[in-house]
Amino acid sequence: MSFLKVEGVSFAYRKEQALNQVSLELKQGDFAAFIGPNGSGKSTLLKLILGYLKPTRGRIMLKGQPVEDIMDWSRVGYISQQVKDFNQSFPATVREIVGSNLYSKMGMIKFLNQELEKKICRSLELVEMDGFINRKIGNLSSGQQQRIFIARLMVNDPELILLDEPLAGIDIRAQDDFYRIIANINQELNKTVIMVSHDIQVISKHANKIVCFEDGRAYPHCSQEFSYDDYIHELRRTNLRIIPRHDH
Amino acid sequence: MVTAVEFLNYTFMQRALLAGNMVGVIAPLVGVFLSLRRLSLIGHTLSHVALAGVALGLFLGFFPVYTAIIVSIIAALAIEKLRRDYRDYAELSLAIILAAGLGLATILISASRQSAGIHSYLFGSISLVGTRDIYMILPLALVIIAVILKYYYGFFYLAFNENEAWLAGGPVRALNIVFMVIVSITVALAIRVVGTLLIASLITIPVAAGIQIAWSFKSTIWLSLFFSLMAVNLGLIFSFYYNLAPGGTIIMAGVVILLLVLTGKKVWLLFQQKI
Repeated sequence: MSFLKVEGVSFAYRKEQALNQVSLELKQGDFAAFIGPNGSGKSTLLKLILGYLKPTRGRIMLKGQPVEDIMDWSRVGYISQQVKDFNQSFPATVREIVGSNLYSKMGMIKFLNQELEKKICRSLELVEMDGFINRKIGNLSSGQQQRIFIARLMVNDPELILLDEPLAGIDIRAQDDFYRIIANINQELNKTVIMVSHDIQVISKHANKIVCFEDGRAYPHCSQEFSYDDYIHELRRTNLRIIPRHDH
Repeated sequence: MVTAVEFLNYTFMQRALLAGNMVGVIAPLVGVFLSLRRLSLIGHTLSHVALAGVALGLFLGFFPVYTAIIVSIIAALAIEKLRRDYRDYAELSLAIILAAGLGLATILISASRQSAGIHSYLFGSISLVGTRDIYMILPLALVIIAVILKYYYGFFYLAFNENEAWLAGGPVRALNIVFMVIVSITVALAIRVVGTLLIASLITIPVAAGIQIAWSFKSTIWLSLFFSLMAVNLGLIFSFYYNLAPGGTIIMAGVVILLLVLTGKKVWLLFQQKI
């Protein structure tokens, strides 16, 4: 059984077609990269997978269950493009930011207990930020902040991780650290990762599946069969318009 | 020593202190979330709408705090709706509701035969805090504290990044409605103690002082609470001894605390640099 199955999904924002008959399948532990120009439908598909938008046609199944039936959304972790749009002088510590994702597990007057505190520490170790637990979030670099947001997501131990352009505005060295951490989460913890990115060159080194988007259509490829060079060649050949489908 | 706490011998002062301290707890509690979301103007708007509610109560002959609560809740829900529908013009919708609230208040006050009592609702009054006010403030303040404890992390997430909370699948709409309702009740309850014109300041000034020296979100809440209770108690005592409107003395006590915190912080930073 596939982990995530997108079957003939179409979606339109009012009359504007954003996705057209998109189909793809991911196995547990896959690291899929969604690449393509702005407005090609990458983020829309993420929102459909998350169940925020409903497809006009087709369906999306997560472990055999239609996404609209999923009640426990802590199974899916999502980092949006807006994650960085917060007040940098917000008086919150890393512990509070990471712990905020555990609110569904806390009842009335039940604040962070030892068990939840351990989860926070483990998440921070995973992103190599365990020494920063009492630091204010606004005092960290943008690369470090992004790792804290990964820790916030990991505190709920999600099965599927969706990252929408998480590396915009982050320097190369911090990007390397970020990829190393995501690769570790993907391989060591066998988590399925989908990452939207514009940086084909870098992400093709890490992802085992690349899905190219163009005008609301998705073209799934396996990176072993379809290398970065092939992709660039196709992009040049087709003048950034149409990328042929490589079924495998 | 006996004269120093003379104010405690008066029943009206005991009631004022009880009501004041309850308001002194809930105002900065909602104020922290409101200020960090940069929505302080909502407090200001709701206070003007609450004044219309008071005027409506006086006009119709109902207990004004009841009508203030009802009118504020309706206005708060309207603000929330407008804030959602006109994301880019949120301030404009606040300005319109503020003006409408004040306009309605002015009409009702001038049409009311009991408009003489409005002064105490504008600036607060320690002598007019009645048993009925206490019975109203105490349970509702406890409910507000319980709601904040229950949704603490939800409100925290909203305050940190509302857009992202929405995208991360949080129950943003429901949380926002609950939040707006507790803000409007807080504003209406504070009327007797600080008056409609100064409620927004009690919601924001202690928080402004707390943020300056806080090291975490939780410490921001505790510091804001501490500064708020300090301002309320000092303000009420000054109001008692100098026969001044408590709204003014409480807020001025808050402003003095804020100035002391700002000065203290500056001195501390200079001292640290020299070391």
